[in-house]
Amino acid sequence: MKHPQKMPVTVLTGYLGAGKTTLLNRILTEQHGKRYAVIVNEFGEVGIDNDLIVDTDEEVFEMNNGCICCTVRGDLIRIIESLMRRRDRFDAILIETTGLADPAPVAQTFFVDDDVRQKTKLDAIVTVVDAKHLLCELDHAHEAQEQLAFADIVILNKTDLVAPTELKAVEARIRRINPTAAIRHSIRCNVPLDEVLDRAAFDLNRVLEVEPDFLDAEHDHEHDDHVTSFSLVTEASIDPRKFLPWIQMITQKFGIDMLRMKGILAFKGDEDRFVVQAVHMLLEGDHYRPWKKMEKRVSRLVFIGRNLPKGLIEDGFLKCRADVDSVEALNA
Amino acid sequence: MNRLANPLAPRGFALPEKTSQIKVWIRESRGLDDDVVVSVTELVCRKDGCPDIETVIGIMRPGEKIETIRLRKAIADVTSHDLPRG
Repeated sequence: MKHPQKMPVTVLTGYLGAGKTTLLNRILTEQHGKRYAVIVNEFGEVGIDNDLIVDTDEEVFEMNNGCICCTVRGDLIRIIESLMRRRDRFDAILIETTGLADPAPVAQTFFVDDDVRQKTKLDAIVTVVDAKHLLCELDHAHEAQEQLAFADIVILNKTDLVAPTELKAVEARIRRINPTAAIRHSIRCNVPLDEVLDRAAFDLNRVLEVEPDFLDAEHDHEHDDHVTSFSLVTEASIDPRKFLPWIQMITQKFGIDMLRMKGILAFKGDEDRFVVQAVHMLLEGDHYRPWKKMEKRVSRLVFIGRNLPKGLIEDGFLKCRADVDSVEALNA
Repeated sequence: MNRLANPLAPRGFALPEKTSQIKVWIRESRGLDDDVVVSVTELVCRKDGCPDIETVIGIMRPGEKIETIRLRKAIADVTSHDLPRG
């Protein structure tokens, strides 16, 4: 039996007033060859009358009492089920969240719920931020930090309202929280739509497809952010017999505070790259394309989370190297 | 090379036919309309304290709180007798 293609879903987050609705109205009115069904929280703000625009109430569904990793959005399950009965009328789905929404249950809906997983695939989380007000918002609202942490693409909007030096500082702060997201500058969200839509950012074979310089850069540490990131790198081959149980243990132990994790591993004697990613405790990994001839076999893990113990995680990761005679990696 | 079994392999789907059967049982026993969505998910949580495997059923009526049924067994092992009457 031939299965219909999965419907791509883009999640649009951003703090109040950042410009989400401006971007949403552009996507709905510009000619880009795709028809979108849109799930919005504030029906009145969208300047279009269309029965494929659906109002939502952001209802959280705790599948397992109180466990953050098993918490999804019940309204999305219900609305997607209803939209998919009309799947011939649109090509993709766009979800706009409120400025205060927690992105985790939204993302987890696409990994936990079987019905949703069968019919749709999360394409990317796009976070719109206001260049003028972001630093202040990051200092005062954990939500603003977490929306950045989850982003695959950050639209740094209203860049015309800040001086170049200020813009640099804003971008550096974004990088400190999320070193793997693609950052796109814009004025009134005038970013090319093909840089936002159809990105397949959650496909394992696209993980860590960003400019590698950002991942190696040391970031300033003058802010005491609730959410921070770090990357671990080694050119030594990794032993999968140590790494696979270790990363499962780390995910189990620190998953509640681990918002996102991505990595590419060079396993000893293996010609293919092994790619991993996690949203909280939802961890997956697989072999992907072979290492290219001229490509450096570097293993890299990027963690984004709340107060993660970098030293302890780094120590465990380095014990997973194939040339280290140790079975202590699991003793984190 | 001989590869180890991959414990991180992306999760497959838990028995679509059985999932559909559970939904039919729920719908018939409670006489649910088409606008009520029934979600059936097999949950494997890594968190300490969570059951290793669990089937979670959400009954989503428009405008009402989600009714949740949790069964401490895999979807494959659920029978109609496990489901509480509505």
